[in-house]
Amino acid sequence: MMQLAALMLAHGALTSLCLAMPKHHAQVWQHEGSPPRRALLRAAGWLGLIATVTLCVAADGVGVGLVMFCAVVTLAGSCVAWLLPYRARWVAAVGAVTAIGAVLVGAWALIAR
Amino acid sequence: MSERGFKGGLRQSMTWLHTWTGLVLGVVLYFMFITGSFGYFHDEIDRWMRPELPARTALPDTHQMVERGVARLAQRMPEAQAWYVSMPERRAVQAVSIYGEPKPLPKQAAGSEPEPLDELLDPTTGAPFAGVRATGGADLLYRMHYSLHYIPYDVAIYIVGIATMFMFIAIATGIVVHKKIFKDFFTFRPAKGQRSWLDAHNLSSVMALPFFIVITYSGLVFYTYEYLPSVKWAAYGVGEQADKAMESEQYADFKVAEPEPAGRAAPLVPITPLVAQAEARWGAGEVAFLMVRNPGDAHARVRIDRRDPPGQLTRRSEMLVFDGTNGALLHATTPGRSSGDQVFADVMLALHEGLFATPLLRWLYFASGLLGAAMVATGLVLWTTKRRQKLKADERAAADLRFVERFNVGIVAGLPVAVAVYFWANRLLPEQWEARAQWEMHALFIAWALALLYGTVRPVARAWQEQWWAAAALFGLLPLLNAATTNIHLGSTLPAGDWVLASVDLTALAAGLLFGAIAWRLRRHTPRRAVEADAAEGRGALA
Repeated sequence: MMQLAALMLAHGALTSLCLAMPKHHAQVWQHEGSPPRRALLRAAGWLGLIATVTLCVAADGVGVGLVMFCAVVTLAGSCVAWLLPYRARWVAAVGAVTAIGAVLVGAWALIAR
Repeated sequence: MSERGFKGGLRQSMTWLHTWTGLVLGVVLYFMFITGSFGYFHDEIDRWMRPELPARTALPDTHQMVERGVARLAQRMPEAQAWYVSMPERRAVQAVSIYGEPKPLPKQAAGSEPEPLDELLDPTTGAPFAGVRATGGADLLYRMHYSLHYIPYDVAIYIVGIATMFMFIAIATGIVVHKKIFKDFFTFRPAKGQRSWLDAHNLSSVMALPFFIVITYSGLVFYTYEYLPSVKWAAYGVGEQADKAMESEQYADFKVAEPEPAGRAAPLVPITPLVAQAEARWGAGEVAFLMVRNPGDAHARVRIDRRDPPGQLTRRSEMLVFDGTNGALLHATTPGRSSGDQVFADVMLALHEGLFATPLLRWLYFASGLLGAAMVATGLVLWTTKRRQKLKADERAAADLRFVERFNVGIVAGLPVAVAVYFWANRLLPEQWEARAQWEMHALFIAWALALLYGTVRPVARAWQEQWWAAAALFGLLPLLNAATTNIHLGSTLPAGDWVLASVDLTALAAGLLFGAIAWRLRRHTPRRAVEADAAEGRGALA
């Protein structure tokens, strides 16, 4: 469950990092985004990635946790990059859903434990 | 090479190196990524390929299973160099696996090498599973990623080793050539010809880069002494004697359990008390493996190994060695005593094999392996697209371009077809046929050869499309074939919640859909250009 939360969180974080880049921001919202807006997206993205690696290490220990982190970033990043050219308008929404989903799944895993 | 306007010579020469090593070794690497990826689902595939095995049940006590294994070995191969009994520990196949190693022939003796005994026993009865079809299973499939097939092992591991080292070069040069790793981290621009192939190649490479680096490096660690023999020559010298000296030093713990036979008969002690001793030390269910060396000889030894802890990257390698004639404990390894180098090697091998992985991580490993195949495939296609786009309107493609274009079809789309045929052969070859395990694999390579041939006789664009359709049909219909030939099909495995078996069928179905989608897209997008290219070369009439 923690691992699923990590996967979803990584997706949310990478979506945020992706949208922080002017050309991808423009793909989704037709304008490059103001610098503060992009800085916010970038900060949220990096914070999300830090939270992801923390979650992975907390769930599986340092060794396996870091392997898990690399693996979820691979899958999540591929999903973001693949969705972008085909369904640009969905990217932000899907990212938001996975980020919120990650919090819910993570919270549920903590309670169930 | 300089048309892209690079000023420095470094990137240019890196591009050259990346392009040509990739092209030459791409075939081997593509084969390694595809077949190796199946290793992550070894147990599931192995179970699927032996449909006669019973469903999972509760297991009896360890000492009972060990006794049954030893009894079977004593009955079938009383004169052995060693007996091995492994407890059921695989995820999918519940069996006690036994292996009897025959005594080696005396040096000058004539005659063929005696056959080892290799059986899977029912843990509850101790009898070998009856009526299970002979199959190479997942073993033969994934082992090809390091030992190939039809080629002697010693040669194969060097071919694979060279390919792996070039993979390392390709990674390093690729990073230099790419230049915009972070700027283009999420960039994919479809339907733009060469641009799209380059994006796809970059994307698959960058996303799974940590996996590629680790899998390549750790792959080399498996064969350190084979690939870098001078390391052992420097420390131990050259020759058989030196190798023995190295072994006895590096595997001192194991050597305690492997003395030369005394040549005098002596009865073997009962095994159960020894297993009980091990379980008293480690806890119930912790015994993974038992070996009896020189059974029936005065120098008999019994070695018992503990299970490795689940979900960790390091091995515990704990074992006990007993005198096989009186049951005295001769040796017990101390846990956590490995040297730093040993721990490093253990971690590398563990990372490569991924045996520690929980289901989600296992799927991610599998996906990363397939991304590796996609990386090689897009690289191969990119090689041709780049050259094709440079051609002038009425210019005829050079022979090397036409060769690689046609070869790529049979390699990239042909291998999935061939792997699907391997699974079909498992269900369709006569069940009692002795040579069926060999012919499953022959079927794979015959199919691949036909796919390569097919690529040379059809117009390239059509060959691509038709081969992807073939792969889609073969994978997509596999669950149906399974339903027609066995009773472990989705109709029974899904209601029973047997996800091990169901997941193989469902994955085949998903693969069929994926290949179908690729074929469908090719129908809509590329043919115009490629058909023009074919027509320009006077092959349009074939279509």
